[in-house]
Amino acid sequence: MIMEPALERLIDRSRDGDRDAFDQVVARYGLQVLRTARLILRDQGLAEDACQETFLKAWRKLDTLRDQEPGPWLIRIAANESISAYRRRHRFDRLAERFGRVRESEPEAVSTEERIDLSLALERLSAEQRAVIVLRYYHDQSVEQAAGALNIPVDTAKSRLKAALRRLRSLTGAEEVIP
Amino acid sequence: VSDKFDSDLREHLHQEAGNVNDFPRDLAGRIRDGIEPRRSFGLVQQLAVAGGLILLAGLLAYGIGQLRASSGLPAGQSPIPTASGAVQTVQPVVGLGPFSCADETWGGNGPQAQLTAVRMASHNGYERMTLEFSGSSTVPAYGLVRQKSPDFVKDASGQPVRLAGSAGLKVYLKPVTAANPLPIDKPAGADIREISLIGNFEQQVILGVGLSQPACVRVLELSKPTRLVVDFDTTPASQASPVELLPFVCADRKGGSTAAATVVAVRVAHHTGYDRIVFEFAPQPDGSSKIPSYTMIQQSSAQFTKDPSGQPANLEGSAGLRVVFRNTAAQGSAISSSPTPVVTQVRQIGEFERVVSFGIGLNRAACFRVVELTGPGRLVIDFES
Repeated sequence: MIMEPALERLIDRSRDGDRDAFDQVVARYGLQVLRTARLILRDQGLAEDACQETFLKAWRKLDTLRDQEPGPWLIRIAANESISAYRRRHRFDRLAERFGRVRESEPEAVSTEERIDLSLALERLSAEQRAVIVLRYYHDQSVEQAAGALNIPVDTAKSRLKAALRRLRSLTGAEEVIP
Repeated sequence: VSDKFDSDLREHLHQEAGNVNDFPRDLAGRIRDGIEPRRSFGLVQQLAVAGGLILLAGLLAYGIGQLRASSGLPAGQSPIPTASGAVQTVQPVVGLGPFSCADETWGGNGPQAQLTAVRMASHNGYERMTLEFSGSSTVPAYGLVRQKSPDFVKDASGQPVRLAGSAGLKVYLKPVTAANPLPIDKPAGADIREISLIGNFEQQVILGVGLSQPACVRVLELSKPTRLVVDFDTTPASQASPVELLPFVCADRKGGSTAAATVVAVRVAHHTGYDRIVFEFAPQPDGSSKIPSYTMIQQSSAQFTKDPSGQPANLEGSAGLRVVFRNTAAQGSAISSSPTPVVTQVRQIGEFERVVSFGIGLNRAACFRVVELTGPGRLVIDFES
């Protein structure tokens, strides 16, 4: 893919260690990365942490970005960092719960018989499921592209997507599609 | 139905994403503060570095062997101190990590274990509490919860316990039982005042630690024997003698507290062997001294970017250090200086949304040390000259 010349210069300067140039890369893609993390994590603080980790990792791995548009590359890192952040948080929560301390961020239980809106329904999915949903429906990636971004087999991505959609339909009361 | 649901889902996600409509400036600052200098090495330099690492590894292996021989440690046992016995005075060389001032710290996930001893040791800058376990090769689940008082409640009797000191730390361990009796060392320094077993019930052990003042902690999980090490930061900033105690380091730095602050003065002066910059802060409303959160980022030029205008700020010199204070104001902070060999110029380059930035121009890349002082609150940066 041919990169916009100005952007290519920014990436080259960043590779050479120019932090001001990288600041501009952050300014250009930051919102896109933050939104992705926010959609997956459903928590602003965690999303900001994942966003920060995304750009720090990108800075360290700039040498691996070869002639490709940084956007999808950053989204790929952001999706994986978001899943990692979610797992870390849940490990922390599980440990805290073992001592009888429940985190405030734990979502309230919602009866599956009760119809809820999409926003609440998305919170009931795992981060792994939300990542596939976000890549597929927000970033308009194919299932194959989403699988590649998340480093999982295509079949796994398909089944994860299918399960997530079924759960969303069930929670929101949308009719199940019979193929 | 599928098309409509897909369409609704797509629309909903875009709508949710649209609610995040700006990129927090603070986050951009955190990213900038977190990035490390990138260096490109040629083949010769890479070979030189590899050779140096091999040599260093050899020297370390030789040194550890000598240490083991002199301390009587059996082969295979880690020379990292257990806070007791012959190796008590051995200082860890690397990998200690920073202190955390988080309210809670949770970790570990090992199987059932027995807490067999609580050891204490005092080191330069920190006091160490070592919890030793048997029956498991990994540290069990633990939680460290800081509290503002040394008051605890016994588990399971519910009786109140007040330990010595004015602050506390509660240590949860699970699934753990405590040896009976449990040997607990007496405090080895002035900051940890008292340790008490306040719970040993249903495989959950709770220790109370009374502290002379709230302290940030650092946790290490060690094996052979299985140990949970909790270091309490005891850096007496107000008593520190930076010239004697702290080495110059050539790396970016961060520190401070979450307190809000106001910079009231910046002073630059030359001393024998170093140039000193002092940032002085106004007293807190309660009269105490606090240093706000700060980061220091080295750069290879004296060219800075003003915050928030983005305009260039070209200072005198060929290298620089950017100092950023968060949750800080800089009302009327006069910069006074005298001729200095390394520090060429200090200028405030930003104040926006309680983020204050200073650019420091240097006539060469210089290593530096940082000291936090109280009464009044001051952040001191010494550049090696």
